[in-house]
Amino acid sequence: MKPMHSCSMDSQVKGKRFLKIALAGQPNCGKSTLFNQVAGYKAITSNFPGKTVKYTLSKVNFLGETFEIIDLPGTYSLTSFDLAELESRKYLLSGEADVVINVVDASILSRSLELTLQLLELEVPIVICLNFMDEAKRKGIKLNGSKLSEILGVPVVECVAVKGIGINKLFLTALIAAREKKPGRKIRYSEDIEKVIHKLSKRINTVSKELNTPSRLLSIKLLENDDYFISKIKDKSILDFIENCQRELSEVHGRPSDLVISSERHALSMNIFEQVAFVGEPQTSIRDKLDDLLMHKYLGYVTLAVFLYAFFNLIFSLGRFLEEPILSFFEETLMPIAIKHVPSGLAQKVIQGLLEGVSGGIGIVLPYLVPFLLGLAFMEDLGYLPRIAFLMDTFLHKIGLHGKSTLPLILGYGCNVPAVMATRILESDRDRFITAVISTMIPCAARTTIIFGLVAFFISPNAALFIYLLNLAVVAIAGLILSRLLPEATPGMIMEIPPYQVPSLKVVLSKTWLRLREFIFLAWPLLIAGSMALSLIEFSGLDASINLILSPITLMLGLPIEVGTTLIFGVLRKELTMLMLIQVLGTSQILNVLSKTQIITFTVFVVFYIPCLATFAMLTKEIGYKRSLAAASFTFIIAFFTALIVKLFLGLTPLSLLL
Amino acid sequence: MWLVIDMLTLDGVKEGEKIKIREIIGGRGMRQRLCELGVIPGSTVEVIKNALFGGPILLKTDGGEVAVGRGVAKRIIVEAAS
Repeated sequence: MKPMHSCSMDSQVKGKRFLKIALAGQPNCGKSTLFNQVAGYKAITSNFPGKTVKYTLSKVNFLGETFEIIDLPGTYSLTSFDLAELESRKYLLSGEADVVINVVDASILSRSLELTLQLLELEVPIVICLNFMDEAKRKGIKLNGSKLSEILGVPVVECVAVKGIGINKLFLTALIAAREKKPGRKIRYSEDIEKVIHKLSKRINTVSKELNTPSRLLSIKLLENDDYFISKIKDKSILDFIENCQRELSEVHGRPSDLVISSERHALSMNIFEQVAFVGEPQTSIRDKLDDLLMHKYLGYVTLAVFLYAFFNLIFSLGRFLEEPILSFFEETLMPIAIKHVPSGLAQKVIQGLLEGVSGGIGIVLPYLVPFLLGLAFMEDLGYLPRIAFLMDTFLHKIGLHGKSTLPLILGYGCNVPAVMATRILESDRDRFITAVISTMIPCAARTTIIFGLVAFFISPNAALFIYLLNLAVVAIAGLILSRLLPEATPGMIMEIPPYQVPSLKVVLSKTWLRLREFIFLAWPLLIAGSMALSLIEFSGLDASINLILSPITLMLGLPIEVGTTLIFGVLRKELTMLMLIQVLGTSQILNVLSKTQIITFTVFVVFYIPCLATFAMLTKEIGYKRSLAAASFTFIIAFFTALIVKLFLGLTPLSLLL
Repeated sequence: MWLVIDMLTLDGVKEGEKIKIREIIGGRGMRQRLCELGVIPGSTVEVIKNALFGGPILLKTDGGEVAVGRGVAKRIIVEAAS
């Protein structure tokens, strides 16, 4: 199979309509791995539930036929509990897909079947992909695929998507199923529930046609009190009728009607599972023992600390090793050539700015961001990230968040832009907002170069470590403040902890690329534009007025007035502050001009104040313009006071004793 | 009232114990998410980890492993598995 162009929604090319295959399944079922196997590097999979909020598609050539594969977001059920589920369901109900491949994790078949039972109600052709057959075998579960196929009335294909086993057969079966257009069998609930469903189906017949939703599916969802469908019904008498049906169920069963339906679905799935599975002795492997260490009460934190220390150390030593030759190529080879060919003032400045912007991007992306994102994607695919989230939940609770905020915060150390984007995995708007704001205060790769270049280089590595620890403390306090300002309780963490897996190279690469893309297409252009704007500011002599405007701040922090411009530069490009500092001070021997206290005060301020332009742009996309402005002001205030406190504190204490 | 005092919630279960879920006190959203992950009234689950310092609880259900925050766990009423 060969991937063709992707990411275009129209399937009409010269009037020909391609066959559409939708992939649906629960989070972590290996759906995106399957997609990547046939489509190339276009989607991401994750061990973090509910990642792919937008769906991805790709045109694929197979057996001389071109068709479209649509990778829907992973959903546990078809109830519109979150955005991803609502979007998936909308797509499935639109009738766009000719056939739905339901990817099922064979190692947790009974739970996975709960989604399958709902998909069968859609009345579209379905093929079941029994993925993770190897994992099921390891767990001692023997499955009878043909028996399952018989019960559900749909084809079942056994697969191991990571290894590419069964994939050709799967798509061949899907093509045949799409042509035959035969939907599967609807599994009947117990008699008393069926009666209510039947009664309700008859009453809502017209509505179901209007909503383009099978009446049986609609009835079940209404009995589950599905917000979306309930909101679509305007007729008061029908709403009363629905309420009566719900009450009937809850009175007979002694629990809310939605729970009656989901318990029933659970029981049905268990029942099917027992019919098709033979459960023997599981094979014990190292993986089972791994959690005894990695998630241990005490040792878990020790291993986490050691692991993170090693990880960041590796990234930074690798980064520094790569960064130097890249930057010196730009500065010593390209720049002189450019300057020689463009002799005049303004144009030369602009070109210089352009080159600096390009080199700044490459100097950070290649050496720091790429290894960082690769390592993170690897940990994620391995299954370690959700476990870190589990370990960190305790601490994040103290600042009013929960474990799921871990991923955005860790990502922040690479680049704040993908970090802000990653807050999408959080369910509540409040959690997303707080996490996004505090993740912009995490020192990204660019700010790390400042901490290393100024503090570690001119003072001591310990002083740099102090900045990092101070940063963590301030981030925690900032989180606490925001939680107090927005006291709404977080819904709490409910998160699947998937088994460890051998990461698949394709998935790791595609996930890295997806995050890198945010940097390349959003952050980098802004970085280059910012760089050119700076050249213009310099050329026009605006810097003097900027220094004057910012002088209240610089003076209060005990810094020379000239560093004012560097702060403006820092908003455009954080790592530029250091270069500009050298430029405005007129020497790279910074210790001759600035005291150690001044260096630390300056760095602390730069680490916290106002997210860079690219991060700000992403922030407005995720939390809106007004709230982004509020966030920027918030970080500015925090930066100012933290720097002030640090300055006063260092003024009182002999620095040499501390560092 | 004494019945309420006697009530055991998930956060009080020791590691390694198997318990039966009796009831989930909470909004529909939380209830459904828990059900989807196999934490369903009437089902039996095993507490694998009960983390320190008021941290989360790791459960083993029919559907794999699920972590729930302590706040959520306090709203899940359980009883000893028979």
